[in-house]
Amino acid sequence: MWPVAKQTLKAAIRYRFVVALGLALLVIVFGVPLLLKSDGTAKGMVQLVLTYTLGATTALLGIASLWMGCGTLAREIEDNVMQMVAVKPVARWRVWLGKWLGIMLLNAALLVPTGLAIFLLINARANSSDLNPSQKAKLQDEVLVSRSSIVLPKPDFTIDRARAYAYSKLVEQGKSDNQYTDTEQKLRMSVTQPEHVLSLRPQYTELIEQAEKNPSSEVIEQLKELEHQAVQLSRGSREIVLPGQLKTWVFEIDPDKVDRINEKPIYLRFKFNAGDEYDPKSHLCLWSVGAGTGKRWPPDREFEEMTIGSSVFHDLKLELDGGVVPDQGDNRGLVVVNFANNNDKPIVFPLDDGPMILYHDGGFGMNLVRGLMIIFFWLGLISAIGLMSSSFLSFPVATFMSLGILLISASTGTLEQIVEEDGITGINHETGRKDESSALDKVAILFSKGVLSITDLVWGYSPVDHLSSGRTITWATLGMAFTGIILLMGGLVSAFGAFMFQRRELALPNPTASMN
Amino acid sequence: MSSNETVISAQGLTKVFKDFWGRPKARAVDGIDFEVRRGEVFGLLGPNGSGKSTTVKILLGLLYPTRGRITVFDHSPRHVQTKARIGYLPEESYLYRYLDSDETIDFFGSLFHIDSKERRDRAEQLIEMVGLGNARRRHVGEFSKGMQRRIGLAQALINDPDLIVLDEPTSGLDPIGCREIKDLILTLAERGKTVILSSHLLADVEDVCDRAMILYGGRVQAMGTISELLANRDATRITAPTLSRETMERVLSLIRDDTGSEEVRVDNPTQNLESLFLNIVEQARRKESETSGATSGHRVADYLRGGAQGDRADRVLDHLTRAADGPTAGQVPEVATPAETVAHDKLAGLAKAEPAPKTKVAPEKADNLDRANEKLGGLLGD
Repeated sequence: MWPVAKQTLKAAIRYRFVVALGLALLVIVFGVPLLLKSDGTAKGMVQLVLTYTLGATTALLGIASLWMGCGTLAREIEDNVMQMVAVKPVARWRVWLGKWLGIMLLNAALLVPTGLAIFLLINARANSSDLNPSQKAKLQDEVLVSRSSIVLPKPDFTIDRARAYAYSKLVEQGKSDNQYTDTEQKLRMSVTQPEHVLSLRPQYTELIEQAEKNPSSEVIEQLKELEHQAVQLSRGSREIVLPGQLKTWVFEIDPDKVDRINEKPIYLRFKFNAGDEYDPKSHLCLWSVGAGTGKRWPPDREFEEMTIGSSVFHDLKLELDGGVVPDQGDNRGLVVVNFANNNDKPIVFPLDDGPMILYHDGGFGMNLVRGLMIIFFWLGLISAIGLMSSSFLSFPVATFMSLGILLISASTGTLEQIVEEDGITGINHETGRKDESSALDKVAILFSKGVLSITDLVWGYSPVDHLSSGRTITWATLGMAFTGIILLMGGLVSAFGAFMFQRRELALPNPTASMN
Repeated sequence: MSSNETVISAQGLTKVFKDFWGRPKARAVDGIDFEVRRGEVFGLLGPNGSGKSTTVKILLGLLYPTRGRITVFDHSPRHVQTKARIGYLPEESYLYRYLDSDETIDFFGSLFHIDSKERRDRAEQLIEMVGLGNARRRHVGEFSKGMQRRIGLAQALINDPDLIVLDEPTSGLDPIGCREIKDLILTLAERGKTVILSSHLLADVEDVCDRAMILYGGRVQAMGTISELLANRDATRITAPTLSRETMERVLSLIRDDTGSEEVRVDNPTQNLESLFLNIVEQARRKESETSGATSGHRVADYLRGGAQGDRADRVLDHLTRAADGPTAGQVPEVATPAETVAHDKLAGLAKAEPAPKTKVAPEKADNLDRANEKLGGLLGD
């Protein structure tokens, strides 16, 4: 296996492929920053440099891996050189794996110096005497750092009709808290927010009873409409802050971590959308943290006033002597965040975008290493896809197929939309939901969910985004990425590729002849 | 040197190439049976598309049989460990163009799990043996065809194989190189190695092979030892020292009395491999055997038949003239030893009018075969 790997690497070097890639990477690392225009801050500039250099490096090495993966095997088969290897006592799967290892050696040989160059370049910029101390500090605290996040648990918006019915009937009884039996108490604790909303609609239980007696489509539709409204209402109550309204989030931090977290400032990271999408101007936001505890921020006034734009992430630095996180009594680890909407329009905090608490967790260097490793895993999968395609296809067809796989797997927007809109037949924009689901919709949803679960396994990581925002890529994340990208997906792709390569007749008189 | 140990065994071996939709496109090999024993030099003969390369590639595990069975050292050709005992020189240079000679040998040696010191030693010897000592650091892509054949041969021998499969080994080589390859094959056979030789060059096969199989249209048209294949069974040749006129007359009289025929000649049967081969091809063509490759036309068959029936004395004169003035003579000073050996053999052969030992090319035969090769080259389009 290793001789084949070394041979593959040697081929890339002898054909000047490495030189070309090296030059392109040099241009990316040292040329791209010269072309970038930031917001004028050191933080903004470094974030841009990280985003563009790492993004471009990933793209370039991804294309190179695909090209190498397709070329190294397909070309050797087409040139008959592979015949000379195949008649030697090396199992075909080892040859396949050797090729993959060769490409990965090349990727490592290019990615490591690139990462090192980016690291040194950014550090040089961060330590430049041109920067004023506040900018330097901001850069060190918010970008060149590794910050872990504490997020709120995702709310459950599912509706179990039987449970919702039972709960509604229970609410109708109007019992006081101490009158519930254990079973009833358990039921109360298990209902979701939309189910609770439905319990406030007396017609819901009536409709369910009607549906049991006479399951007409009209009744079923009415039920679905009510449930849809309940979900929308619940989601809205979590996301929307009306003008003049106060919104509170409570973050629970592991009490064991509190003292360590309090050694450095923490950050509130948030993003909001303007309630009126045609009004993207700056918004006046009021924030306070830790109200009612000994750790109150800001210390000298009730709220921190901010006039900021929508649809982008903001990091609000929370700093107190001794730390912001409450460390006494029952409140230990509980960070209460309040937000007041001081605008004349609603503000929406999308559930997927936080807010979240960020705390210092380590240095930038190690975080960069972990980020680069995720990129390395991606390159491994991409090269495996290229090799897999070329195991049974000619070079141009293999390249076309591999590119197709990558494009489809990376373009999940349509699939997400299918899942979101409950099918492919579209939603009724007046009611905001689907009128009737067909079998085709069900198949499409099933397919989309399947593909999304696979692509999420591979692309569900954002190392560049994490690095440019100074967020920790944890070892656990890295382990998951390795398991999902390399072991699971890479393993499947490799097994299929090696199987096809094993079956392939390497001396067929022309490439269109089929296998026996 | 051959033993009873079977190295290759094929029964009903069939290979049908199919198109993209799985429809049969060409029947390259059609139910052939053959066995090769250890220590044999086994020749595969046939025109283009006759199935010999397909057969070779099946026994190397590069193609899979559609039907039938083939074993190499009692295993499937795809058995990985068996491949450690095989050396293969393909018909074309299928080598990494960006590697130099040393790297090429080293790479293929490493696939046999030979340790690096042993690889270096063997590479050293092999590169010297194939005469590329001065081109060790040149990339294979810069080599001439002959040089590529030489480095190809070297890599085929890196593992000291028990079975060597040589596809057109002398293609692209100069006459001395050809001679060296043939000597090497004989040396390997003497060492108990089994050699499969697929060639268009009849002289190559005749010079070195113990047995040969002639294929046409994917079928075996003839198979046997070279002497069996070349024997003219309608006549008897008695080889004796020079006889006196009286003795000769007594012998002739005895034969005439015994056979009752007046048609008794004192002569050597003149059938050679060329005529045998072309007759077989012609017969097969007349039977309209299916072939997926090139077919020979009547024109070529007639032409070859005419050459095979030429007058022996003319050929001897022709040979002598060419031996004195021809290009072979001009090459002698450059590579003195082999050329001198050949010249002595030729002279000795002509003086004694006896067949040369098998390991040497009989000059007359070599000359005839050279011409036959030229003709066959035209026939086969090589």
